Amino acid sequence: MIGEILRRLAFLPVTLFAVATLVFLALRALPGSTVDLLASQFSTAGLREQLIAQLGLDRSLWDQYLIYLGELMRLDLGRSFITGKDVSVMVWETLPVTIELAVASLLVMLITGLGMGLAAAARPGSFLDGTLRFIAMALFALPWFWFGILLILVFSLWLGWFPAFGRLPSSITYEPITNFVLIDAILQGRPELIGPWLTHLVLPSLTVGLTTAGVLMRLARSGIIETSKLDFVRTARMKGVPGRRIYLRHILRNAALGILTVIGLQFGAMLGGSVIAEVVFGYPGIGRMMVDAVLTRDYAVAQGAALVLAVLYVFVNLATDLAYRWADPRLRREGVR
Amino acid sequence: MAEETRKAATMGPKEAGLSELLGKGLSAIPWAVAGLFVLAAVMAPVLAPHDPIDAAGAPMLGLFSERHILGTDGFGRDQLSRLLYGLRPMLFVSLGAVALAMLVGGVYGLVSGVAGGRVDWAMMRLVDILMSFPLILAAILVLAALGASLVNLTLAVAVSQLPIFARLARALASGEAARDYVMAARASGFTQAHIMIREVAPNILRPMLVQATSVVALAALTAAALSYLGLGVRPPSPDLGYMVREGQELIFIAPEHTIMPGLLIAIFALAVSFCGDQLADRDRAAVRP
Repeated sequence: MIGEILRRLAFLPVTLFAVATLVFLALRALPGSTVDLLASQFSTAGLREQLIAQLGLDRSLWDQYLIYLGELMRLDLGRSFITGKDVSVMVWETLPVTIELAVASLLVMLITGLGMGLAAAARPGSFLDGTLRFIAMALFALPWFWFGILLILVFSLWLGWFPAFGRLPSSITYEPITNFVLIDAILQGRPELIGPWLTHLVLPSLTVGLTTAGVLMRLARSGIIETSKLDFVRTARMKGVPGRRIYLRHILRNAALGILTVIGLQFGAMLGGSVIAEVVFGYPGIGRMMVDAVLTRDYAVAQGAALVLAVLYVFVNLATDLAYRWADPRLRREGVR
Repeated sequence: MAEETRKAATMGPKEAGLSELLGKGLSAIPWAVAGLFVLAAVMAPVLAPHDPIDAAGAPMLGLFSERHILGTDGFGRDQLSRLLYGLRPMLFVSLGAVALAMLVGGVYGLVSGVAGGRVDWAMMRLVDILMSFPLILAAILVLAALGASLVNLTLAVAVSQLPIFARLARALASGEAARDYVMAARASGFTQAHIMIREVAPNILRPMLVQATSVVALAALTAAALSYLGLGVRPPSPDLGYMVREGQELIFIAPEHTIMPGLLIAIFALAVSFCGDQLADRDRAAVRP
């Protein structure tokens, strides 16, 4: 077990290095366009040259790469080509927003996905089972962005229950310490922040959580049904273990292993979904920052955002994998790869 | 390596399919719907009553009328015609990307699985690295590098799906490579290339095709999302994903402009999901005695 953890951790730097290189190559494959965008505001050719030199785009690709890696070592993500703002600061401002959204979405996904899965697995083949499975399929097939817009239409425009735009109303002054609203509200003793923050979070997290819940529902359902057919469950029944105990200690506990893996894999979908939801709801997270940067070819910002998102994803997957090993005594003992 | 097979196993556990729920008679519906979408997209020039780009002086945001059955958009363009033409990029990108990903990923996984050993290890670590990007992030990066266009969108969606096919093909191929007939071929002195192409490939093709069908919906949704973000087809060319975005700006006055294109995407994705599900069920039924 410990050997396996060490092996995974040893591979981590390789993955991170490769991720950094891929991000660099992807965004430098077509250089110069940011300058065109910037230079279109000024007209002289001299200014253009000056800009290129200032941004370091006149050096060779290899030199740019070495500079980029050197800066990464010092956790320096560079400056925005357009606003000149420090990208690390921009990440600090936007990443907590996305994490808040991802955690809220995860909760929505877990509650609806597991709830539907457990309900459907209780009576396989029943009408309820069929209906829930159809809903799960439909949830998967909904275009995420479109579902978000429908939620805005119904719950914001027609019913007026939830706000459709942003993270906090502009009437509230918020001076971030950690930039996690919930933590800051406690640190600063400002409970009045929590209400508006939650109402703004409802529609985006429903968008991401519900559209990803379908996959979880199907896996939870089939996991429970398959597990309950296994020999050890029959043995427990024959031994006279009470049904409730069999369900909780034998079936659910074993099915939970498979579900844990799915949650880790779904986190990627969740980050992707957050990118979309942030654009739909004007939510000031890192995903939206990245899309904006890509559209304006602001390399440094797009690079920083992509890198941070990928690193986050790598760590979550590693954590899920290790949690899986820890949770499954069979893997813990044998140290199977 | 066990970890990958385990993941693959948890991804597709044996569950009785939805097709039985639909009943035998209804199982043709998703295929018919998907076919209808393809037909409508191909026949768009014939079916569309107006030019999808030229408004020709029609009123902006016109209501449903005899001349414009579904009304006109914010530029006075005929909505029905735009919806019909808008199907084309979605179908082109989703089907094209899946075919491309299956071909490239399949060959990659085949080589990796049959070769085995260190080659296999190195090739699969490369896939792991590609998988350290969330799917849509990988696609956004490709589009950032190549610029927004229909072909680039197809490439981007294909790249995001490559790992799925590479892993599946590798798992299948390495399973086949351990079988007697491959050993026999090896013993008879056939080359690696011959074993890959003539012996193993035909045996993994079927599950690969089933997988392909079941990811078309995901490809269509990814493509639509990227178009929505403004990374797909350039306006004024009609595209369902981008039409949802244009419609979003009119949500206060004419929500139908964002509802209709999104609904078409959803129906298509649902139909092909059912198709994929049916094929997977049939496959499982064939494997299980």
